[in-house]
Amino acid sequence: MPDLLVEIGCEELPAAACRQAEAQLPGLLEDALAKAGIASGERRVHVAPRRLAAVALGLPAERAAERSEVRGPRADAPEQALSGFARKHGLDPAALEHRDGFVWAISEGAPTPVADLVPDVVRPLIEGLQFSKSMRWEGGRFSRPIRWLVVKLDDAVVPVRLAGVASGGTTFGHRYEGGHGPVGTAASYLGDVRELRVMAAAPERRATIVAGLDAAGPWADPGGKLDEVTYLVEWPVVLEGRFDAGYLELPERVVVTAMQSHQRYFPVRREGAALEPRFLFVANGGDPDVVRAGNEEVLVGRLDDARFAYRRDLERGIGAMAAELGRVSFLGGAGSLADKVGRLGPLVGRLCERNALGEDVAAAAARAAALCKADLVSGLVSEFADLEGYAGSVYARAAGEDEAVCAAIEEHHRPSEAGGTLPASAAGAVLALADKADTVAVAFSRGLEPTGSRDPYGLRRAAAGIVAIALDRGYRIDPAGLVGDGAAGFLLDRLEPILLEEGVTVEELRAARGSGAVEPIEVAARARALHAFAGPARDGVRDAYNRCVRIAGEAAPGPVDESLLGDDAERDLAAAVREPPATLDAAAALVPAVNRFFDDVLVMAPDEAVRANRLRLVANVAAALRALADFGQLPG
Amino acid sequence: MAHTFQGMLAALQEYWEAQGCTIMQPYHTEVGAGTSNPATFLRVLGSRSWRTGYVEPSIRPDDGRYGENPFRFQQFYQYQVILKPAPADIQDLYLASLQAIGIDVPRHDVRFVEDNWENPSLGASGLGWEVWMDGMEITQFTYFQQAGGFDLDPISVELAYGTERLGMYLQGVRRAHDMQWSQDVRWSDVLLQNERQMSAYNYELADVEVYARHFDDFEAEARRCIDAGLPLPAYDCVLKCSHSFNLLDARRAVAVTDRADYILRMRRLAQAVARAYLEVEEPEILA
Repeated sequence: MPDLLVEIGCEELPAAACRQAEAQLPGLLEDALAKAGIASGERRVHVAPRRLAAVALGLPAERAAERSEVRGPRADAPEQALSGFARKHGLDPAALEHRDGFVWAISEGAPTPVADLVPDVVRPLIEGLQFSKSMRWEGGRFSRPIRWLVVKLDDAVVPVRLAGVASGGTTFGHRYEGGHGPVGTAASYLGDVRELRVMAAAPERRATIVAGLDAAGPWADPGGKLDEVTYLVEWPVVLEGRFDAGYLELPERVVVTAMQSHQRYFPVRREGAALEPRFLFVANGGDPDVVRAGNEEVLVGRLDDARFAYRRDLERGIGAMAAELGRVSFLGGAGSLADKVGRLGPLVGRLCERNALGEDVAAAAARAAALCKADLVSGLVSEFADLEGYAGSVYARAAGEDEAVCAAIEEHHRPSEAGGTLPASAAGAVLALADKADTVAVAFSRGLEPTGSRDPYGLRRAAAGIVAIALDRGYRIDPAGLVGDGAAGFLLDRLEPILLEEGVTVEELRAARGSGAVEPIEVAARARALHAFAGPARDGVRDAYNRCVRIAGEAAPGPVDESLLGDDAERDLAAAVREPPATLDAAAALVPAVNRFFDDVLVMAPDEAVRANRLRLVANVAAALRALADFGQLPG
Repeated sequence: MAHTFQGMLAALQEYWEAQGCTIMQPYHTEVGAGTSNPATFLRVLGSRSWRTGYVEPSIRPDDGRYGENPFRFQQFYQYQVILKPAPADIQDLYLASLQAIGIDVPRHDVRFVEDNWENPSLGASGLGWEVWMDGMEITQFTYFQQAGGFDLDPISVELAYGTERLGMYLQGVRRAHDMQWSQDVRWSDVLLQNERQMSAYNYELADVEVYARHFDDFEAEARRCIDAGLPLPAYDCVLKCSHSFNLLDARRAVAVTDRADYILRMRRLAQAVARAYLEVEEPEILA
């Protein structure tokens, strides 16, 4: 039972490419084996920055012979044709079988040695991988250039030439400490590369890193760098660096950002205590003292920059920064950030009033609106863009602003992505709404709406944020008033991913929007209610509605002339819709009256006045139902 | 003495010369990076092999800090290498170049960290890495995929060394200012006044209207050159547009939307220049 090993040796693959390969290789290997007609026992995939390895254990020694029957010419065909057919299949004409008036070439076939099938297993592993980004080089196309290829069936090299590289039995180890060496078999692979100082299995590297971090102290990883780091090293070594405790005068998040954004260092902090003046990081080898010193130097440089910027910002003060916004342009021709800030004040005022949020919230939101963009001209944000919003809150606090104001400044960028954290305070929510709405409104008014996949100003994200906040807080926002008529529909479109995630269907959302409701909270409430109401009762309403719409045709709703109502069914229906149904249950309760009306009453009465009166009644029913939802959108 | 700044540059020069590079001199027009030098941007187009190395003073008005920041300047020196086609052992060649300037590579943690490079105003992009040494970025290492909107074939590799950082490291100084340029002269003796004055000019004095006009004028001039079948002077005009744009940007005179428009105008020019260049050099490629 031979074992197959394939190692694709690469120049350093990005962490994301490693993860894509790790996800895709098992399926590619399974498919390739199946396609080649060989079954395997256990299969394994190992991924490290410079190698992708696939292992299939317990392959059959050969693929079983396959009997083939090929029909040839008619048995009475000229001799020449028959012998030609026989020759084509390597048979003597006498060996052709005769059946159904034709000759047949029958071959019991020969078994195929598994080594002959290996190239067909290896090729799709390389050609089938789909990376989010790939590059071309002289050898082909992959995430990064392929530089060596090990293909072994047990201890024999199977010759394959792919991506400009011929397979062999030699692998390359750790770039600086490993050199190169032979690979034995699939079973010995992990051990063989370990000899060359490579941990090829990601789980082992991760566990090694975690153990190293744990041993060094209570580490934190707020930026989620551990996964990435696992794929950046082949022989992880956790090292500890130190820095002067004086830098801890900086707000903690600034220190952590200096460590984690770009550098991928891990801060150290005991539960409930302040940051410690040290950091942990994962090296890929080197002399620990040299590597430590270099990384300390880099972090100190970043902390120096941060401290310099922070102190200078504090000296300037948030008020002075806010006063500089006039020189920073907003969207082309749409004035400066100062102009934008000027618009935010009235916007937050209107939102607070519409939602009766009270004077305190209104005051905090208004003050925060005036200050929220100031940190865009701060030194700290120009060093660390991630700190936008947070930096402003720190400087507002330093200037003695109320906590509610500081919180609103920090929160007004939220959510930073779909499903991201939303503002926690009312003032923050209102300011976040106003800021995003202003961007959307200005962009649309200048014809800068997103097209296709192009959304350079992040308008879809802004609109999605507006909707998410409105739903979260239950605020009424008057979309058309907030972002203009042109963008109001764009805003409501953002409801779709949120509601679909909850299980609401596209048709239910369309039906809810068809009611004419424009407030996101109302549209969402209607869509959710429709979803919860799915079933025979809802189908009944839908059918009744569709029937009314069809019969009413062009007829417009209007007052019904009671004196022209003759039949009981007609009078009952008129009475039933005098108060339009306010809920889906009420709508369902209307259905029997509608059905009885259509059963008992001839709408198209010969008398023109009676007919018009009846059509008006039907149109009234349709309109009353439609005010709840456009039931016609629901699938029938 | 290899550990002066000039000694290090000479060592790089010597190393890449030995690899068959034509050693060029800096270009005469402001460029934001060695990539914009025609010895890179134009020579990576087409099929002909090309190896070059040169020091490029890279002018980025918006990076100026009046000489107050230890390693951020409006003018810095890149050492630029182009190998076309990229050889299969290029990573080893690169690491040996570090060794050649006095870095004992195995004692360090030298890492190739993903970096996808793009220069939208040149219609150029590539994939590769930032090379990190002990957490410090020292080189950009890029396999060019596109230039002037053309898919490249063969693929060139570009190495752009950050020479100030490497020099500071080799000399064990924390500020570029303290780096020995030669035995007797420090970086600050040579360039500090330049940083101060150019920062003041770039941020405070540069006339926004003049540079906006320059942009328009050189754009028109580039078009005339292209129409006349003269891609080289046309490209110089593109570089002048690019520098004008960078100054406008430093003066905060470019709104977000205008930025996209300026970049688009530059990219169209760069694409037209690339096409005109191929028409002169290798018309069969366009056929």
